[in-house]
Amino acid sequence: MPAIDNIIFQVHNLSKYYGPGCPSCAVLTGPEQETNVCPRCGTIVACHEINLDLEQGEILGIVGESGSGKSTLVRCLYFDDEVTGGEAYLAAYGAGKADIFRESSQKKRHIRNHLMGMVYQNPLLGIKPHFTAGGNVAEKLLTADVYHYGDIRKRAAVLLTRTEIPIGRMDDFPAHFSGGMQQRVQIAKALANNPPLLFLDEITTGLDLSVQARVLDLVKEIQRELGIAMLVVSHDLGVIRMLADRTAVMKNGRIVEIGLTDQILEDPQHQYTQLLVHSML
Amino acid sequence: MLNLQEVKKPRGYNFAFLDENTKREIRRKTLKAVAIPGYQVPFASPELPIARGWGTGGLQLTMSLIGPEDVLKVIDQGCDGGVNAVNIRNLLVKTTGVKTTYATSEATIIQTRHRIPEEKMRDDQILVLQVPIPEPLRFVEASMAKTREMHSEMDYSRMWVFLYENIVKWGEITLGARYPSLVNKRYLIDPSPIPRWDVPPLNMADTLYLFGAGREKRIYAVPPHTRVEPLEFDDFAFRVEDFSGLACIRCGSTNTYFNEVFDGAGGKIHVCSDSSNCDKIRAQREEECSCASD
Amino acid sequence: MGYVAVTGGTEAITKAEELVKYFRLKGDSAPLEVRQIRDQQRLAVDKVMGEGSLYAPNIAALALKQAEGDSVEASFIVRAYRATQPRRYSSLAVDTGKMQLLRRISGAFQDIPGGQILGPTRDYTQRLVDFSLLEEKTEIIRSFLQQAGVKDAEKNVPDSFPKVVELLRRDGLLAEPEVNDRTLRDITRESMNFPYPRSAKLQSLARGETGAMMAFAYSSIRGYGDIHPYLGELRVGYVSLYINHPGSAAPVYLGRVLVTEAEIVAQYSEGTKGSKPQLTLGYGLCFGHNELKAISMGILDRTTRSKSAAKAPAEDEEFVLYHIDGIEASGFVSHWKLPHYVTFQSTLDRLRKSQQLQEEAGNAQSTGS
Repeated sequence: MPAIDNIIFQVHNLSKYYGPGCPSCAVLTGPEQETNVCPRCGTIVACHEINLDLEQGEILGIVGESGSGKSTLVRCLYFDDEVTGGEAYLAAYGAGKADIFRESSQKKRHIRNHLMGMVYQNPLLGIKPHFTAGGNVAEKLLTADVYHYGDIRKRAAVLLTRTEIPIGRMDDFPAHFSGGMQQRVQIAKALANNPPLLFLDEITTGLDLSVQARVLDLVKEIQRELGIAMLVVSHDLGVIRMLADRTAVMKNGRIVEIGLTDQILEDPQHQYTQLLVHSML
Repeated sequence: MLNLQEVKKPRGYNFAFLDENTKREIRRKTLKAVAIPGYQVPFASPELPIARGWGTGGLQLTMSLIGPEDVLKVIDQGCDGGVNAVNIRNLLVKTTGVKTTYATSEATIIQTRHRIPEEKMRDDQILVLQVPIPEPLRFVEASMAKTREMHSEMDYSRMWVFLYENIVKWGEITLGARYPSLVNKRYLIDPSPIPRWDVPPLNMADTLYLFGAGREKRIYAVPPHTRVEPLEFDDFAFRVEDFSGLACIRCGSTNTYFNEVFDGAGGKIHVCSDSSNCDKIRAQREEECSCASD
Repeated sequence: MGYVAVTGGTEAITKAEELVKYFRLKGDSAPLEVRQIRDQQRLAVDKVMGEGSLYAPNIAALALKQAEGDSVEASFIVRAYRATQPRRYSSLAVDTGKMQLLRRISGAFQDIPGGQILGPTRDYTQRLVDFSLLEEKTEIIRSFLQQAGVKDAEKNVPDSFPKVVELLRRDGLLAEPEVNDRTLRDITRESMNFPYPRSAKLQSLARGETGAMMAFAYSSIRGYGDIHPYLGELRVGYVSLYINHPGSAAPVYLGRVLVTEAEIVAQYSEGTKGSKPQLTLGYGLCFGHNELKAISMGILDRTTRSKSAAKAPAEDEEFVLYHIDGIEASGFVSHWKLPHYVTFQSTLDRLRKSQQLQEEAGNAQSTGS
């Protein structure tokens, strides 16, 4: 990790390929070629040599359309998928000197449980419908080694209240909640272990507009209060504009532009970014 | 000309029924189990003439360990006289000719179903427990492939959430027997359907405890002087069964595990589950009584 | 030679039937007496009665003889015979508390009022091959039978014994049934929809195939489901059957049948927060002496009442009740032996076409850019 003290997360040359791979994959795919699929070997180049870093308390937005690789990127960072190449460093882990992709699965689980939080687009990926809402939060706390029932109850109550879930529903099953409420249980769970780093993958997609607004407000407030660094993935520039300090634009597995959100929106440099910005409703 | 009938003596069953190769496999797996406390070691577990679910795992362990000098005790629910214990004891005696006893202190090998003897066992004794379901995570996960992964990563969070949900719903942890316990601070075990009462004696004991699951084909062990800690929350401690205010109708004991019996007249009485221990206490009390009246 | 169309189906079937008879009779051994099967293979007879859903020991024994010991085939024969019988009455509800017991045990308690009566059971024997049965001498059998048999009881043995579940009920430990539906439905007379009414479900289970029920019950106690069962009581014995008849003021006695009854008590009903924790009951009853089936039925009665959102197979009522009928299952599983060549031809056609298209696409790709 470089000397800049404020950087808590760094990604070097992250690549994710699906398929056998060949020497021409990198050259024959990308934003200029407008494709992810290598014509020579059929490999899908989901991500190619992604570099980014995240500062303390910052929200970095990743925007792109389908096939841009943004969701793949986040899945790899959360260890849901194995990277094909690249390194990543967390300041909170091993003083930022250990490449987290090379750690054992037990250590990866430790990093996930103690140092990261994740909110998926589909809440049922992040929460277990057969645990109660409180039980879901409890699960995160238990994996973070909190073994006091009273403390667990208190903290779960605090988090669920914070995410605007009525306390009376703490012992109900999320299977019976609305989509928006399920999403908020997921957020409560992701925050349970006070992670220094939070991933948010298309968290408002599929929700009603008013519900979207509430969820986004919640995220912004939490971020202000707790100063958690976040990686927000969305195809919706509106969401990015609302949340992100800096933004990376992805197309066909590469970052085509990265900078302050305001600058990107007002003065997009790359052709594709211009297209995106001008398509905004 | 070689006469096979002379060279190969016709014989019935091998000593302790199992052939020597089967015994060898079991012993090796047992050693592995002792070397990794609480880890479930798979073994071949061929069929025995006793039904699966009726003690074949325990039997295979006993059969692979027992020698002609051993003294055998077999109990079921704590009782030497129950039909299951009698049947198993018969098979072992028929195939080994060893001495048997009802007295815990006299035995060298004790095979048991669902109870640990009340009397503290020594370091020259082995307790073999019959296990129906060796997997403690079965409460939360049916797939063996997944539970294997969970053990290898020491990921017991789902078990913990299960206990949390128990407390939420019922105000306390409702697991009775088969209480999940952490061995040597590493592997979670199902201590077999012994009551909670019998979990503390496993902790830092002098005795070797061996667990055999025949149908599920697993062996695991709690070696002497090993930590066995039942899962509990900091503020919801593990509790044993509550028999306060009750006494055994036969021996008067107030600190042993009881069987509840309907007395036919609409009432309930309590008797020690460990029958030979009950006999011992009774004999002691009678002696004290007769000494006192002298 | 040109193609010759397939003919001779009728002749082939006739010959096949003859061969079946030949295989049953060849070998020069003395023909089996139906009485022998009834007497010495009573458990096979009981199984067939239960799965054939007809209490008729002689018919069941004959069916076993006819089917060369194939239990499913014999049950099929009995079922078919059942379908020809007129249905005139339903008996009055039987009080199994009054059962004339052969056997009565409880796994939940060490001692029960009236005692644990083992009866005829192999549970505590060792399964070692008994070579002495290769040749049984009639004199030895006769003398054994003479000295076994009824001895005077040392004390008065009661006529009937109280139910263990009654004790639990009295103590407030057994939950009341959630649904108290006592209407009698007959699945062989009307088509049912799920969820089944209680009588229809019990009827389906009572005539289910023992192996299938055993497999599903096994899955539920191994973890595919949430049941933690105890055997409250198992009874084997005779119950008397009575009917109401217009020609008589009092109920009319028909006779008695041998049944096996199992009452499974399972830990904790699924409560909502705050409800009283209690045991729930799973009930099993079948014709004849068939403990495996009665116990499996009791377990499945309970598992299929599960309210969990993610149901394990044994908890899915439709899944269980649909797949445990031996006659339906064996029929359909076997039906692949029937000619399917017309549909298969169609499949081959599709397969060849797809392969061809794939090959053409592959060729185009390699010859193209």
